[in-house]
Amino acid sequence: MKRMSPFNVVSLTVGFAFLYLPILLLVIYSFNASQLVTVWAGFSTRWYGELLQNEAFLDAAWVTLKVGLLSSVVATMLGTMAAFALARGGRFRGRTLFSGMVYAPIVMPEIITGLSLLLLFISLGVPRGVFTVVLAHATFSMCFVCVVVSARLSTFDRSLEEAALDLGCTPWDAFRSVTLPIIAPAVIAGWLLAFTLSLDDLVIASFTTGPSATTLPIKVYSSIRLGVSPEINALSTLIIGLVTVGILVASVVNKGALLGARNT
Amino acid sequence: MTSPWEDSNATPLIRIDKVTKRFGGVTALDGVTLDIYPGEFFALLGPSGCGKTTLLRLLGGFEEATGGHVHIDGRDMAGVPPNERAVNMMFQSYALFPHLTVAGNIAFGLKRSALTKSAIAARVDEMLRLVQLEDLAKRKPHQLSGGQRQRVALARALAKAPKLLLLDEPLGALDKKLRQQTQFELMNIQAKTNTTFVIVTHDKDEAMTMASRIAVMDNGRILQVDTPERIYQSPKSIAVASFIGDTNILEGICNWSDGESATFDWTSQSRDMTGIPGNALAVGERCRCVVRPEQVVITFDEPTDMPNRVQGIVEDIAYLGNVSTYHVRLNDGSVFTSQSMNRQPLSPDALGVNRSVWLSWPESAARILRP
Ligand SMILES: Nc1ncnc2c1ncn2[C@@H]1O[C@H](COP(=O)(O)OP(=O)(O)OP(=O)(O)O)[C@@H](O)[C@H]1O
Ligand SMILES: [Mg+2]
Repeated sequence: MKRMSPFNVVSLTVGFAFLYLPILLLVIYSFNASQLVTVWAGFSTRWYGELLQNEAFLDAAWVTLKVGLLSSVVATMLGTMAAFALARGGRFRGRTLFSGMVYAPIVMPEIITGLSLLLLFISLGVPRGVFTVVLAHATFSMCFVCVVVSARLSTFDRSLEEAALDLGCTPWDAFRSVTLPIIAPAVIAGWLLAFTLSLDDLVIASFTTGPSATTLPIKVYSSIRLGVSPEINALSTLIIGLVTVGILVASVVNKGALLGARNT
Repeated sequence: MTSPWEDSNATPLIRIDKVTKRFGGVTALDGVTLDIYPGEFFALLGPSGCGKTTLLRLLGGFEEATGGHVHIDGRDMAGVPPNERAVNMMFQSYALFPHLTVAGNIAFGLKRSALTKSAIAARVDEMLRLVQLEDLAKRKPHQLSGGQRQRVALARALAKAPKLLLLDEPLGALDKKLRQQTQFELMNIQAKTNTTFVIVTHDKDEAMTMASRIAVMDNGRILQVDTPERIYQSPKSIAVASFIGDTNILEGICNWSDGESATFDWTSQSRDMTGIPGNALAVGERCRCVVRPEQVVITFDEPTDMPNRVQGIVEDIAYLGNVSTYHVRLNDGSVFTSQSMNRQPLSPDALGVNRSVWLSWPESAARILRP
């Protein structure tokens, strides 16, 4: 391999430092023994222990997990179906409008999405809680699933499905035993994306939730206003760990999807 | 033994009756009528876009006819989906399932039949032996060469022992040498399994080599259905004659015909020529005559015993190893082609450029057709 020039080494170091130094500081201070966030008083895992005792945080974490799992599953199903309709529906009436509308929530400011959902829930008289947050998260993350799955479907060779029909499959059997296994990496990547988006969403959740369902980002945000506690650092470190693992898995899976696309 | 298509008692496996297929404004098939008999190796031949794939997909159940009927094995196929037809297709792109192994691909259709597990395994082994891929059963399609993939696709399509196998340009992706070898393999497998094959190709040599009969298509219509020899030697139209190989075309006016043979006045030479009429011709009608280059004999002296002869000057010679092609300019400026085998090494004083020569051909080599 070619050796990097000193300039490249410097720019890479500075770039990464700029990106990751704050996060690194946060991780380091989560192991701080001191009550004061900015004064280092030796290594300790005390705050992790206290975090696990904190009922309010644990409840919020449970709500977030529930919302994330439910909304990402709904979003994956809806997003995959939308991708199929776009890729396979031919030129049905309103196709352009439909594809534009599927992508709209991606570019729409979150505030607006959140506000409009809030208005909808109020006017329908739906009590706000876990259910409404799940609906809201499914709504905006299905677009991302749709984008990921559409990209895979656009390179999918239709004759594979015809071959399955030819060999005796019913259309549903052909979908289940040929189409789905081949596009599975994209569907899984879409699901992971939806899950991660739901985990760290603050804006839409705070618009659509009620007093009964406080998600972790809302909880963190509100407790920060009362001063940064080292417990938050510990919590953030855990979330960073979780998200990193999620992103790694998603990229590995998606790489598999791209390789699969090249081989068909 | 008479061939089934000459036997009026034989029942065809496929009966295509005045089938028309339109895609929006495009007419892909225009009133196609065709019978294909059990055990045939039937080739659909024609230029790009003439409707070959469309006809094949209609038989496979992937398209519905706009008009007309398709019967397979005596049953009207209207509305019958592909999974309910005793027909299998080998796709042009092979369409191997990338997530399954070679054995998994071959077993795919068998698993959707009533066979037991052990019967499926036995059948997969049999198919692997048939296409000589026993050692590669565990590989995935992307770990195979083009020729190996082609054989997996064939094995998968044959595994359910279909009555009818449809092949869409199965050899298109192979290089020339592998193609020729595979042509014979396909013929062997067809004979061994006694399956009816319908193959699409736009390579006339491929069709001539493999097929029991050929349908020459153009523009959604069938021009002629016949055995390879008859397609080559007695084409029914100029279009078929020129599609199926190089040919010399003479224009003239018919001046005598008894149905068995005919004479015409070759307009540019003002000479009477004889030949065999391919269509019914009336005296006084304009006609064209086709003569294959390899039937044209080149001599220095006038062959007075040959009824069809003409003088010209050698313009150039293309030496192709086993044969040479001579382009001879006639006195009206047109160029005539003659081809002959190079039996002995050419001597320096053999036919050279600018020599004056005579071209001649027997009556049986000339086909007189409507223009
Ligand atoms: N799904 C379709 N929609 C619209 N037109 C089509 C469709 N399928 C085929 N056609 C048209 O029908 C005609 C016949 O197509 P077909 O694919 O049967 O040709 P082909 O003989 O197989 O040609 P090639 O040798 O290039 O494969 C073409 O003009 C083609 O453009
Ligand atoms: Mg074709």
